[in-house]
Amino acid sequence: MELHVLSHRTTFCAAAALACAFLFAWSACEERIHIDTGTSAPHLVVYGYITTDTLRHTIRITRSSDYFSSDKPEGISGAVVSIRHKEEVFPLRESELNPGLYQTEANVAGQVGETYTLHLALDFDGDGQTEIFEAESVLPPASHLDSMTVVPSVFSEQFLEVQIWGRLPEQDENYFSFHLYRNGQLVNDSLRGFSINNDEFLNKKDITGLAVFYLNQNRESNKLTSGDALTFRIEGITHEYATFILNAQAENRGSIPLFSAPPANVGTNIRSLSPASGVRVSGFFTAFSQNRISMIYP
Amino acid sequence: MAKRKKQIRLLFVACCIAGCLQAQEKKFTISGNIKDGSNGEDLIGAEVVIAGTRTGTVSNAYGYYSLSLPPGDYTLVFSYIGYTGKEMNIALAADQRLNVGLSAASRELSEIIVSAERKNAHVVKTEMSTERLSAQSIKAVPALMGEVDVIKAIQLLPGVQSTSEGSSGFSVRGGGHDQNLLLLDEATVYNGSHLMGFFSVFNNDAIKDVTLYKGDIPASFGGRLSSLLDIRTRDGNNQRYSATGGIGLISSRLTVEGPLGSKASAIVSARRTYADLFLVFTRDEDLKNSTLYFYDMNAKLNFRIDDNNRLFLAGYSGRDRFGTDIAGMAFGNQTATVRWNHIFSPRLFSNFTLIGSFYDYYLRSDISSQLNQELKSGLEDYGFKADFSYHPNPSHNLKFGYNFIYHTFLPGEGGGIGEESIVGRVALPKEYAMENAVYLTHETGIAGKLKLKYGLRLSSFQNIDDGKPSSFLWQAEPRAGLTYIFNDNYSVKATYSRTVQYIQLASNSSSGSPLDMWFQASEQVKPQLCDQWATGYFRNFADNEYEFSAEVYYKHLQNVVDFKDHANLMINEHLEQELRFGKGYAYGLELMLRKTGGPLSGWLSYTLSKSRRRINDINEGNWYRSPYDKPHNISIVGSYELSPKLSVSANWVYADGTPVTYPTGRFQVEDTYVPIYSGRNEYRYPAYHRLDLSITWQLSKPSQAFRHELNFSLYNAYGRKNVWTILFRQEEAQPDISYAEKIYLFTYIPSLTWNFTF
Repeated sequence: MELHVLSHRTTFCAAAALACAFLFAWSACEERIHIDTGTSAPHLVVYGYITTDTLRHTIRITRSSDYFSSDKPEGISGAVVSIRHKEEVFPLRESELNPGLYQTEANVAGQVGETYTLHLALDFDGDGQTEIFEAESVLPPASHLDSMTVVPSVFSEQFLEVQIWGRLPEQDENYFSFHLYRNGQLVNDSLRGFSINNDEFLNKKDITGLAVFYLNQNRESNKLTSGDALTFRIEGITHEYATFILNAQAENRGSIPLFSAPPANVGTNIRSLSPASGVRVSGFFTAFSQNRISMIYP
Repeated sequence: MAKRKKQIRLLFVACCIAGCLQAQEKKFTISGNIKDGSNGEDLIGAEVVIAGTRTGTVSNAYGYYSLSLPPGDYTLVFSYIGYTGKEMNIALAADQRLNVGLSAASRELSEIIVSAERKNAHVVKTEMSTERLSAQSIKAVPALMGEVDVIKAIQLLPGVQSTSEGSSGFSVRGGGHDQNLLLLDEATVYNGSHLMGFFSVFNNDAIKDVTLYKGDIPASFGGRLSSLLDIRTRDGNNQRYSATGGIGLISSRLTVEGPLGSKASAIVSARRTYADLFLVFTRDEDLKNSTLYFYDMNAKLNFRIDDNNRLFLAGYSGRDRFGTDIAGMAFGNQTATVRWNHIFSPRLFSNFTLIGSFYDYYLRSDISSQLNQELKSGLEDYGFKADFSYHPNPSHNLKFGYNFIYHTFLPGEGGGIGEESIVGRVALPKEYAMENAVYLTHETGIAGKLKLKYGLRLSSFQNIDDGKPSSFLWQAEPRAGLTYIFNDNYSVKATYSRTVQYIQLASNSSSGSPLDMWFQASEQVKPQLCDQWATGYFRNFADNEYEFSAEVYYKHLQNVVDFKDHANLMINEHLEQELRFGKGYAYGLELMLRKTGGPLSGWLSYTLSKSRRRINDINEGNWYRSPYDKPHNISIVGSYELSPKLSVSANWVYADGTPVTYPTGRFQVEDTYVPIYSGRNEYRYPAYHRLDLSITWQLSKPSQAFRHELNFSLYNAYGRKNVWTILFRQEEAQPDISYAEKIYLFTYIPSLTWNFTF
């Protein structure tokens, strides 16, 4: 269950969801429909990040497809990719097994407060000219986690509530992405399940028993049994990345006439240094910090 | 600037001419009120003519008429459609007061026959682009869920589009749903919807007269770009006590009215839905114990102090409530008006109005004690109007006045609830503004068959910071019209008007939601402007039983407001950063054939139109279809009286699909496909069409004291699955496969309503 913990979006989302739920419960029906939306010029798609963990960081470079294509995204090979930090350059090498997946060495880690720049060069449109693209991100501070627990939810018997204790970063406004693992499996494992939050309106930085996930025990993927290992991961993300994820989620959900804005392309922070090429870009590059805490469900 | 000065000069010249005309010969004035003789309701737009001539006038919004003539003997004919006309002989040798009561020609159970005007009004009146509906016509339209609704009836008129299936939002001639001024007894109604738009806030039992101005908005009104919906409520029966009501499947209503002494009458009308009872049957456990209802109440008191003074007190209050254990929402309008009619002289009628208008919404979430939050926002208006009409002689009619509104915007406040909450509180500062306007219009016959009207509204808008005006915006809003009446049966007309909108709706949805809030113009946010030209041909046939009109219009829009992609409009202190500005145009042809008499009545309308916008940063700065651009639109509305006890009604609507932005490409992020879109509104939903039917069975005789009827309505009779929205999904098992899924709200919606009156 998605929860915008620390934002006034909470009330809006709850109310909008409520209104839509009423509408759907009352009258709405669904039916598949065939639509021909033609073809679209392919975009260069770049998505990846560097985190505070020491590991192989990855950047995925693909080509967008027609909306109703059933093919997997086509990886773009042959790009020259690097992440730069001050004078340091971390080159990324293309995976032999996964075309379009570029990885750093295994000993790379980002540092809080530092700026990282993604640089890539490739001939995307096949005209023999190399196009160059860049994006940069500052790595935000991490939150401190002390402990976590799972308790029955007070508002519904079918839900268990995952609560955490800890301290959020001192700076005024922070953005977070929450993730929960059950026995090593990510519970919110796709973009739709990402829980993006901010502490703009929070009146204190210490968090004590804050509910971060609600697990529906009637749903198999959420159901906990004694001995299950739970891990909560909190990412400290940039405002821009939070906006990217929220907008991507909104566009993935689609447009409901009462509460949705007109559909719009999700923005990107990848900028072209070869604008004359006319290559359109989608995706995002970011840096984030992360912290984890685990428990065994009794 | 020079152009504006010239316009003002012209008006002064016009006033002088009118004054001169009055001074040229001695005249006396016949004046008075025209009423329904059975219940004392003022008749709006009733005709008074000198027998055998075209000289005459019509009653105003308070039933008052004034006719100045040279001394002599006259036969006056008072008429009103649906009523038996009355002839009266008078010897005019001094100013004379003549109140007239007309009797209904025939009357069905609980039908309120009002505002159909004189028989050939749409030919001879100088106004065009105006639609007037009676409560009876509205009642004849098959109703969604049995709830007769003025807005749903208006959506069947040419040039008017519904914003989405079942919605009370409407677009007029390609304009936005926020560009319609909704007035209830002269008070602005800021949100015209109940229950997410399925019902409007206007209770048909309380309504006397409904006029929709699609252009040619009188200079006495302003503040919105596209249209004015002027709704007047009934005064209450001053002859006897009576009650009218109905019990339907999802709502019930009751209206009580009657005299209060010899000089006053009152009416109270209320209704409430009980839609939440049906949620018990839902499969969703969380919704079973939910709250889902609305209520509203209209009340009006009118008091005749003496022949020259009348006082009206009117109020409306309505509220919607939705709620579950974890979240809730409430919103509603309140309005109050105090009106004083004063007749300075038989030729000078005045009305002074004090107005209060309020809207607010409240949201809450009760997820946990640490995270419980609330949010509220609202708008308060206090206003004053002074309107004068001066009738020096039958050929001249002057109207002038002053409008004032003091706006208080409550952009939002909210935050955590309770001591355990970790969410702070935030309150955006209140904002204040003043809107002022003066106006003057003159209507005259200049050469027998040729009528001219012209006028000017001078409006201003001031932001108020720290109690002091901080900026000053103003506009001259000219109006002009020319009517050539070939004979009693046909005429041609042309009008021009400029309208200005100083407050805008922060709405990012195409159909509007209860959470939309208004914000004010400023030095950074320029007021929207609309120049509209229209011309039309008007013809009546078969002794005025058939009315035909053909109108063409062109609208040029400036400073059109839209919002940047993924705008944040809630609790945003820097809302102006989310705005984008541009221009637009709309043009169209509207054809209307209406049958007004006989057992079969109704209308057939066709609209051909186009509406485009060009806004900075939207659609890469290219022109795009406005959200309400539906080139072809057809409405057929009919009502047939099979017998005195049985009548049937039907309507069929067709509209080209709503413009929409479809995904044409996709890219993958975190195992999820994100759409890449076509140009803004490049595609269209499938066409919309629907047939509604209703049958009304009188269960009693018209002569009985207690009369009742049964109405059965079937909305969407052939079960067309009209698109409400289309969502794009990924297969659960094969996430690389995307598909489109249409959401439709209604197929067949039957309803049964029992109506009574005594």
